[in-house]
Amino acid sequence: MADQLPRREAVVLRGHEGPVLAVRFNSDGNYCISCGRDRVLCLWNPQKGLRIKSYNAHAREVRDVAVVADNSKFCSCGADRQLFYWDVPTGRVIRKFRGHDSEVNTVKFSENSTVIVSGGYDRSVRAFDCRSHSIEPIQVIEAFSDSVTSLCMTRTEIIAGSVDGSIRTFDIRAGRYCSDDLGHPINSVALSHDGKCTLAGCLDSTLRLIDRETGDLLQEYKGHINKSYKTDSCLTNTDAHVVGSSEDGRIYYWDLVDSSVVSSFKAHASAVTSIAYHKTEPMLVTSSIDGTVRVWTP
Amino acid sequence: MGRGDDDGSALVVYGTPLENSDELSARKRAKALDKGTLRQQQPVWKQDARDSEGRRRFHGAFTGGFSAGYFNTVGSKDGWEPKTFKSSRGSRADMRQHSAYDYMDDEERREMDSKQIGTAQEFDTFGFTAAEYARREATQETNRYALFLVIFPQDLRSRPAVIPGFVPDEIIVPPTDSIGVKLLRKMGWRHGRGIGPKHIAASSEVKREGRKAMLALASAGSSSQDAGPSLEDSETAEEQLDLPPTSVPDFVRKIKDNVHGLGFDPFQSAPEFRHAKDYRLDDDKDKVKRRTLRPNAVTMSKGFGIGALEEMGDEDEDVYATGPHPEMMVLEDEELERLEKIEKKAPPRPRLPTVAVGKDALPGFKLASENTYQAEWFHPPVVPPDYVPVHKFVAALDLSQSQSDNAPLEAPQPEDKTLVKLIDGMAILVARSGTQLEALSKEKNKENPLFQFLFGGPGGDYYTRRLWEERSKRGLQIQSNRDRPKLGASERGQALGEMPLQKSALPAIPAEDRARLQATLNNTFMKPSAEPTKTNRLPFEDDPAKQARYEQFVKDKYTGGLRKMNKGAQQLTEAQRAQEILEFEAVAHAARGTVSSSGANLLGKLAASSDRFTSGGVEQAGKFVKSIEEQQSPNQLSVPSTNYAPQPSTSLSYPRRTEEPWRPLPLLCKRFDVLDPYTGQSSLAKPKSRIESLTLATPSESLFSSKITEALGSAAKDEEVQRESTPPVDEGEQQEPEEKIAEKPVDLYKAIFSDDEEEEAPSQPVKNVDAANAALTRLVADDFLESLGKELGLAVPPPMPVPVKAPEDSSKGQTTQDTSGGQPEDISKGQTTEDTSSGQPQDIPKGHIKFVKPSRKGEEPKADIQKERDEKAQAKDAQYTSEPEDHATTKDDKDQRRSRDKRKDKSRDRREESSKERSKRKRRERKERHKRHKSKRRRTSSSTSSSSSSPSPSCS
Repeated sequence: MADQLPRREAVVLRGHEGPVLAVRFNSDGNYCISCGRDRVLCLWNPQKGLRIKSYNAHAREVRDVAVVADNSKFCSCGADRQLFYWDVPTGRVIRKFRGHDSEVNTVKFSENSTVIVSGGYDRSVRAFDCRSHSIEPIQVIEAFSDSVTSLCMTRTEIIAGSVDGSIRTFDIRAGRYCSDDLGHPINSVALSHDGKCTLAGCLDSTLRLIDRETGDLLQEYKGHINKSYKTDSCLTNTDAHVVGSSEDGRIYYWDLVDSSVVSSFKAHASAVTSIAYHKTEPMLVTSSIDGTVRVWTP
Repeated sequence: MGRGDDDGSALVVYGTPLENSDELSARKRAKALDKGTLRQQQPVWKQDARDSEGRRRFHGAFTGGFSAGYFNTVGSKDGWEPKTFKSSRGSRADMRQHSAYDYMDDEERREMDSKQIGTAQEFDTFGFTAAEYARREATQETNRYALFLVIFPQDLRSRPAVIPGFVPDEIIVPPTDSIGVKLLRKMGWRHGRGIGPKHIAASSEVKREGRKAMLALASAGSSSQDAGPSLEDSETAEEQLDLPPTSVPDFVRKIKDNVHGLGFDPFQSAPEFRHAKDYRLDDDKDKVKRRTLRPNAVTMSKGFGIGALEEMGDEDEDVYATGPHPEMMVLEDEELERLEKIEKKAPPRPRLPTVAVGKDALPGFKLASENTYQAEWFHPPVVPPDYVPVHKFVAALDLSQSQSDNAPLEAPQPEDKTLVKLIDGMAILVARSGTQLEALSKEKNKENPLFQFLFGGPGGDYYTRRLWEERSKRGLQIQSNRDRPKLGASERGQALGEMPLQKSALPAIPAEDRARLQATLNNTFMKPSAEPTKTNRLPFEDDPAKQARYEQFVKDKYTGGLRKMNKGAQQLTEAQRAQEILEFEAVAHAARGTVSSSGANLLGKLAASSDRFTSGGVEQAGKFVKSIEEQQSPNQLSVPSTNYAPQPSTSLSYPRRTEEPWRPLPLLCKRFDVLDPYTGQSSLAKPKSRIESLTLATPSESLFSSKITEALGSAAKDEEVQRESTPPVDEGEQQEPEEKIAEKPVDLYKAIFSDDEEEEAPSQPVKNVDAANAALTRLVADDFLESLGKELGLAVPPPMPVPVKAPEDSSKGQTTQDTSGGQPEDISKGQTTEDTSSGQPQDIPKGHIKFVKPSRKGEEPKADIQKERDEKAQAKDAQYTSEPEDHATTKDDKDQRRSRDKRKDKSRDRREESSKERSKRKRRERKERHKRHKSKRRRTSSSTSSSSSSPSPSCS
């Protein structure tokens, strides 16, 4: 099992001038899109290592990007406080949503791709409608007491992690929200593929696995360094391992159950900013401050 | 026109002198008058200004005003004609720029024109065709020459200075050779030849033809001209061959093969490139060769060139390129070849040794045997022999030295104390600052005998030893500095004296839970104690098994960690085990305390305590333990237990889950394909704020409500009293807003006081709300009344319980107009006197006003309705206390009421108003009552309202 983990560097995607802040797979995992401090979004073929297209419109650094389920559009956000809704083939901005009052940290699409949900430094989560022509948010959730760093979406829920140390789950169907206070600033939030657990990367160099049902702490994963950078964490496609990125450029794999470090390797020269795991295959893309995006396969 | 001519002097006079009338003859005078120069003779009004053409410049007021006629200037006979406005919108393109010229009259224009420089007719060479002119001139000249020859055969050279009279004017033309012709002639031009640019501007075609012709001539061998290969040579050859120039340029039909506009000549200002172009176009066969020679675009990109994206066109040669033009070189090359071909027949002539053109030398030039140009060559800097390319840091060096060096041998101190001191100080300094200092001091103190130890003199060994010692010390320090871990946030905080963050769960847990937690933790874990105590005494001697367990406990205690289950304790129950552990803990603590507290009395104390324990047995020990535990526990709990394993505490504190309702907006639900959980609700119910809950809670406080119920009994009476006792102040404006304010809390009070109805009026179906309202008002009014009564010097009556009164009133029946109580009557009387003194009718008590005021406008219709209802409620009304009141139906009464309204006290009114906001029903009932009284009054009372009629305390 452990030897199936992607540890071999398949391709290095070079093209960004400056730190790459996020990398995301598209919905089928054939392409990935990255964004960085150079205000450019790049669409890559990670298998071949080709840069397919680059998208320029942002005025400041781009912090996150999310792709629509049908891969025809994507949405990016960044320090220019706006959300850009792009058309993939033409590279044109379809809409610029009036985003947040300050930097936007994270953006996600709802499962049916009709709503863009974003979280920002202004301590709010905002939902934007892709279907209407309005650029105003359809809902502003201001339940947080600090910057919202990461978002996750299920079919009817918005899960947001914030620097105030809480994971807040907004259940739209039930009309309730529950807040799980972890006591440490939360850097990243990821869902397990069965949707029952939340993996939260905390700034005390610990990943915590939370049972969504009860809010219990199931496991803690330690060993990596994460104290100041915004990094990512996720689970592998099989949910057997937890993947975390470290500020020293290493990637860590933990066993989900016994939280032992299964493997770790040096992936980048400097801090890893973002990771994304392929939905179906053992394939990992990582982005780093060193300006590269690397593709890892077993 | 001056007189300078006469005098012959150099005086020049400008202007027209005025003539003295005395000196003038009549005729002259008339002439002068006519001319206008004679001024004195004419009166001023007859003099007028005329311009140089004799036109009047100024006109009288009746003849057109100041120069305003149409004679001289503009306008019409009638004066200035205003122009009708004409929009220039449609003819903007026709708008032309006006120049100053347009506004000038002919004089000014002439003047202006005179300033312009133009070619005089006589110098105008090109006024007509120069050739024609020249031809004519030539014929004339020949004619003239012929004449001259005929007339003055002896003088050919000189031109005739004096022309004899018989020569006609047509024949004798003045020598009008224009300057241009002269110049041309000087340049070698002769009559009959065309003019125009010959050398530079001549088309290449012409040149080529000429060159061909020249070459042809050269090939014929007759020419002495050395046909040089260069262009200049060909030019000169052409000139010398004296080809017949044509006055008309040769228009050679050329196929237009470019994309320029018709007639555009790209080489107009740069004809030197034309050749290149022509040659390129002409010689297709040579193209291949030229291509090889032709430089690539790379060489073109010097200086100003074309853009990077433009393709190199033929015209886009880099005109700024320096050096020999490659195209030129090609051309020369070709020319050479061609010439050689042509000159095959020609006799060989000495030729300059031409090296391959385009390689090194120009044709006609020889390569120099030695190159005079030498690139300046600088020798590389000399690296000093002691240069070390790698920099070594002093500290590291020192460190490594100190570590690697073998310790120098121990040296004895020199006898001289000062020297020892000096050496010590020097060693410390050198160790701190590095060897540079040593070198420096060596250099400085070469001659100083004191510092001889530096040079291995006396004390040198000791110095080296000391230095080594200091270095090693220092190295250790540095190392320890390096080894010291980085400060964490908590350490830094401690250093800065900050309050440590409360990460522990303990403060967040309630006290009883905390105690429980502590107990369980104690059961499960144990603290490793600092120093092991000797277990030389046996506290549980009577129970060996227990003693064994205790010993085991003590042993475990010093290791700490998870409590092990004692083998012996397995048969004990959980509670017993816990109890026992507590005991052990206490005993161990006591033993340790005694051990650590006193050293000397240790034995005796030990004995005593052991005595106690042995004698007291388990029970006593248990008590002791408990007391100790009680003493101990607060301390333990207050201190966040760092010794306990952190795992349970963190897991207990985090994660914490809280749930709250949250309303997703309908659109969001729609977009998420979810039914709105809050459908039907207009908006999310606001979370009840703390203030709101407080306002809700306050009236329901037991104290307050009891007060209210108490007050309810005396409500009616007090109200009346209050009304009467308040001084009259205008209050009409305040009615409406107060009504609104008072309406709000009705439901609230209703909810609270629903049970208090009975007390007020058992038989009266008045709404609870009203009762509550009244009660509240009264409560407030009580204080006010008291103060007011004091002010007025009246005794405020204590509230009279209604239940006592009510039967009394009912028994009295309708007809009784008497007072029902003494005290209220007194008050009313007192009031009455006051009122009468102010001259106002005061027979209507407050209770009456209350219902009248809000409905003052629509009183009559209401009254009609009321009448009907009155009849229905007649029976009920019989119970009520009669109120001898006037009713405001007559005109007088209305007036009275108005005036009375005005004199009401504001503050009283405010209170009253709040109570006035009772339900309609109450008002209705009151109305009924009043009506009844009115009818009564009609029957009984006199027209003037009786001042003696006192308002009886009515149950309001």
